[in-house]
Amino acid sequence: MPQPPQVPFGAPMRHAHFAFSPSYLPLNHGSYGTHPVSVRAAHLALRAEVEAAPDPFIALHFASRLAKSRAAVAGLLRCSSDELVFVPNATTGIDTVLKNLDWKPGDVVLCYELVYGSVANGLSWLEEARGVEPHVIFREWPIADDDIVKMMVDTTRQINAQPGKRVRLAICDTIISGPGARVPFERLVPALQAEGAMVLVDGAHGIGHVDIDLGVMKPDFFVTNLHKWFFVPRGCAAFYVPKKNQALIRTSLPTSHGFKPKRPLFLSTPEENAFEELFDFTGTSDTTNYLCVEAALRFRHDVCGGEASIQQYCRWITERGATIAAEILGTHIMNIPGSRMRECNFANIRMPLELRTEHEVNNRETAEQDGKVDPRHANAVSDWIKHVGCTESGTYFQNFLYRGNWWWRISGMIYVEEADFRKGAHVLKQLCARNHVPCLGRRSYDETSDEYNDLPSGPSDIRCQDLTIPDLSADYTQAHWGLDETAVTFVEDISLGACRIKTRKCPEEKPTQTPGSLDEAHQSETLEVERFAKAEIHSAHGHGAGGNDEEPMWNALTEGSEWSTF
Amino acid sequence: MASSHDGAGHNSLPEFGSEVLKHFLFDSDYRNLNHGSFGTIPRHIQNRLRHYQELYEARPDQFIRYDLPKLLDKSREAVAKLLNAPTETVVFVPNATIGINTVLRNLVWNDDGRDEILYFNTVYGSCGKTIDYIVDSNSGLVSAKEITIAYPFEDDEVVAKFRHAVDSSRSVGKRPRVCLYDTISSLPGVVFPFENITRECRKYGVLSLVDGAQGIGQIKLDLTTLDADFFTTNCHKWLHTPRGCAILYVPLRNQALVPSTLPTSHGYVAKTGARFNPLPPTTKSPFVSNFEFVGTVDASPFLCAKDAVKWREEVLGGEDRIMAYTEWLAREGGKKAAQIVGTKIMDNKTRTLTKCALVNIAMPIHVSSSNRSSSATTTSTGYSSSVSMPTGEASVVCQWMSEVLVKDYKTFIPFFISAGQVWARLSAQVYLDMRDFEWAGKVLLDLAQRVGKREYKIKERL
Repeated sequence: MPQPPQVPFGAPMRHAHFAFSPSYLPLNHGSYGTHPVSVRAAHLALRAEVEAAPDPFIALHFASRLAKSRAAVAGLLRCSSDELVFVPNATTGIDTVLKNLDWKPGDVVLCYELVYGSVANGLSWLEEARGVEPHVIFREWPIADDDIVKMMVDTTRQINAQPGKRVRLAICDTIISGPGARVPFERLVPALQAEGAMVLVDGAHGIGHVDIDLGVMKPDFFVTNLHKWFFVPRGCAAFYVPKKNQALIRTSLPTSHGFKPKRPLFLSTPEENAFEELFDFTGTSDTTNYLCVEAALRFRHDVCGGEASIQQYCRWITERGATIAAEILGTHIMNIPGSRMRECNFANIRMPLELRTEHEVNNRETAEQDGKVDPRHANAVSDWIKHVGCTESGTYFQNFLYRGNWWWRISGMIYVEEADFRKGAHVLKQLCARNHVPCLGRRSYDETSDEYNDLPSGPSDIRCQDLTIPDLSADYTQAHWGLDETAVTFVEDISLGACRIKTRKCPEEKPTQTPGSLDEAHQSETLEVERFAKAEIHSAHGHGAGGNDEEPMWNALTEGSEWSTF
Repeated sequence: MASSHDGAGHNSLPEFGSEVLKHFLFDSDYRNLNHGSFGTIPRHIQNRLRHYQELYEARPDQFIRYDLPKLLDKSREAVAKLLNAPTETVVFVPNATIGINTVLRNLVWNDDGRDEILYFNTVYGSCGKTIDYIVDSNSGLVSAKEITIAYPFEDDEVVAKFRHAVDSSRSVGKRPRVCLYDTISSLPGVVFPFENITRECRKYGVLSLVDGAQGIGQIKLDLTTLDADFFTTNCHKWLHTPRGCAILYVPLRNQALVPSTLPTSHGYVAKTGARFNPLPPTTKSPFVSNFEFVGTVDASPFLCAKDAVKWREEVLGGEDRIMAYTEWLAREGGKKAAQIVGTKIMDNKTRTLTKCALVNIAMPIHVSSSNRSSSATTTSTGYSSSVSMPTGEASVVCQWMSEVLVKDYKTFIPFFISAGQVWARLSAQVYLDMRDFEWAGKVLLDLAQRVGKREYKIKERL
């Protein structure tokens, strides 16, 4: 039975423990994550400790302190702590495997078409530089779990049946990034290993998100980001290599002090390849965030009530958020029978956008008014929605075009609640509607609104209160953002990310496009959504902080400032 | 004492030394004599760092995807200007080791197996190991050749050795493709004739790969004049940026030789065609956009480079004033400390080794290469006594002295063995002055005497 959190999940949790700008609506935890202010405080303390006496901290004490973090994470993932090291991110962990294996002629790397982009690039590099053949299974997702396993196993067998070829390495995810979908990794690992392949599990979305038991899963290589779902400051991932495979990972990326060469340049006694030491220090960087695991764990346990409590809420809010969004957008949630794809903190909601068919493109008369997107503009539309979502509404819509359809990936997290998804869905609906209008094709946003190319990209004011010398960034703001009438400028207090509104110039109404670009219905909807959003915020005050000391701050932040564009 | 060396006439500028200490973050009882290993930041840069981190958490996606690239460009611009390099040739990487790895792992070796990597025996440890790895993992396609020079070397000697190495490599049918060398070597901390060797590389058609780990902020660098093929330098050491900030410079003519970051990530443009990139579209060159995002990390230290350049200009009076002071303090302070210990600093006849902010002081601990004498012996030479011991024991002594420094003296000084002797490396910085070097001299003398009493053996037994 999960323990209740100290502060209710949703808006109260956000206000009490997270450092978002008041005008920002975070619906995409999955890309870069964030961490609570208590973890930030721990991180700042560690950084202060380094500068107080740099050499002792880095050269003498860091490795032993890191060992504690590694042990804590190893305990959670159920592996031995000498099989787990830290790297900056999952991409680095995966590339470390790709660049280390002693590739042989005929070796094939197997993956499916939703393999993460940077990993795919790593495979391209491998093909070009080492002649290793990547084999990508092109098949449309979603796919039922049984079929995923069958498709991977069958393909492995087909490749292995070819003379001189073998699937040396297969790659699968715990949770795919786009579309956000849980993969039956527990079944894939043994099934592919039974075919003689080594299995590399990309757990970029792993720890803190889904249950992982490496003792049972027994992958050949596994990496999971701690900065996404586990609340460790950015640039922190756990990289697992079981003892039997450690001899294959001869060097860190970059090769550094820990490398034990076959023929050393310097006189030294040949030693065992100590996997742990290899990754302790790979060049000077700030890795104090690696030591924040304890603070993250404490927050998760003490404030949130433990992993089960977090997971329960995140699943619930993902489900609710997706249902609300699908209802508002008039669409559906990606799913397929026989799949556990939705057992995670992601949901993918179809966006109300249609691509023109080739026939429709050629038929100029209907193409002007059908409200569909020209295929040539398809990627630009995704980018435009992301960009305008940020600049106008303070929300980043993680959306993508997959096999002809647009999907919005939402992230459930402890600091969001139903109202947030309602606001987000309304904004997205409007944005999609604006894209229906033909004059908002790629050229139009340049000419009529400057929104796509020239509008400043954000309201973050780069001014800092306690500067003793004039700051370049003031000029920067003036030159680059000064023209932005809609920008919220905020000045931050240096203490722990607390932000407060300084000035706000609210647009009277949305900048209109060429006449007719926003029809009256859309305009009135805009206003309605704004009113609606304000009501939401007021209700958030009401139940939100509930006697908590944070409430006055929240009110002070918003009082007298017409800041919401929702 | 320092006043004649700190650019008199600027009344608003601080006198270097203890007056500058207030800008830094050291514990009041800690004396930082080893800036050269990991650097440190002033309070102002700490504030800037925190500021960028707060921007990250305030609007994570917006900041990382839209605002960060612009701020990164500003920072690249500021550093490029300082290095006199075109902005499009300068990108950020976390440290020089990654810079060197990025270049060496990208070079495509010829199929004939004749390619050779040249390097000097003064190479930094992690870079030497990178060469090992490249040799180990390329199935005989590339070999490595070490050029041996002995401290304290003369610049001309290094040039002659380089020429000889290229000739002898070619005479056995090898093709010297690339040569790796330092701006300033780490241990000992002495200037390497990198300008001369870069000229030689150009003359001989060998790619020049310069490890400027000790570089920007310590010595004057003009990359356009230098015209190296690849150059990397740490900003977190001498430019006062937060740790994890270095520059990789690749002139336009060589950018096609570096198609991938380390790790390979979103920016990679595969020969087989472009893939989905989650970041907003860009008009920047493949080189610049490739290094803009290499996987999620905290890029705030990169953004601080611009602020650090500005802070050094406005608060410290600029690069020339800083370097004039640190070079003077290293050499003169080093001499003072050596005088107290009863030894000398490492330099050559032309005094080119000490044109930097590092200085190496001989310890009265001699190392015998033979293993015949199994334990240390003490001899008195003139006014101070000196100890002699085998290499293995000297390593134990170096380790012991470092630990004792932290524990008993609240400081840290790296020790190393070179030219049959144990040496201590000191770093000059704007927050140190002659009194700190005098103090260092006394501490080193004290340590040497404790070594003479075999205290390290007592510790060993405990």
